Amino acid sequence: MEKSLLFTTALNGSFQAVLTVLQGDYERGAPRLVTQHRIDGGYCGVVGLLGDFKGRLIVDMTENAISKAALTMYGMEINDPDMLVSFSSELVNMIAGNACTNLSNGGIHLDITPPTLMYGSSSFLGFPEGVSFDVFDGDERMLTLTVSLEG
Amino acid sequence: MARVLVVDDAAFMRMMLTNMLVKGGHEVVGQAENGKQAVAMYGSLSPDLVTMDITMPEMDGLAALKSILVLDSGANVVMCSAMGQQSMVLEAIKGGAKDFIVKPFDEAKILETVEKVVG
Repeated sequence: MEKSLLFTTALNGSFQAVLTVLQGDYERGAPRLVTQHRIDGGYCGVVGLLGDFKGRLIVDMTENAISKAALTMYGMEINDPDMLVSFSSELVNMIAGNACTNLSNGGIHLDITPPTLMYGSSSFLGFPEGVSFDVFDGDERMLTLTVSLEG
Repeated sequence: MARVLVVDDAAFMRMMLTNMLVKGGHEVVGQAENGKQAVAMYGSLSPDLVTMDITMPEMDGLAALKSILVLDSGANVVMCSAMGQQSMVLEAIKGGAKDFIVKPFDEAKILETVEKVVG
């Protein structure tokens, strides 16, 4: 499959996964080409993609997005820091897993690694070219999703 | 009422599943955070049912399913995964899982599945 088509399919599948998991009326910002990603606070999960192609999915979520998701999905607020980390990691896992399910419907078969979660301010530098987009709730950015593919 | 072993690497999911099961009148006899722990706990606890995550460190859910079925060929294992591809569902069912639930799931779906599997 041509790389541009692969990116488009991966982005659409990923955004659909966000809508399915977060169960909100969110909007997608314009996609942009990236080779790095900067984390400015919040929780950021990285999942390895294996199978028909290799790559990584980066889900960078604001704390507000995580709190809203917990309320919408399970009707609860999370105040325990350990549970917040655990839920954030599971959110990334669910978004990546659902994205893979969506892609499999388009004939792309992938598996995912357990997520690695980071918190605070940092940068991912020098990964293979990827496509990134923001997800908004009205004017507020909830998360940024990046798909980077190798080869 | 079923005696359930909950297996998931995410503490939050173990807590949510436990809350849902207890609210539905079931007893959670143990919680494991990876497949290796789950196999060891299955041997000592002999639960009526296991809810098993798939993507976990140490030993994944599909490998744990196989090991548990070696211990007890009649084990009731329900896979719970964020990935719901047909190939993975088929692999789990062929491997001996009694059902497959895709995350995110709700309380009604969990309790309905437990009822269906343990009767």
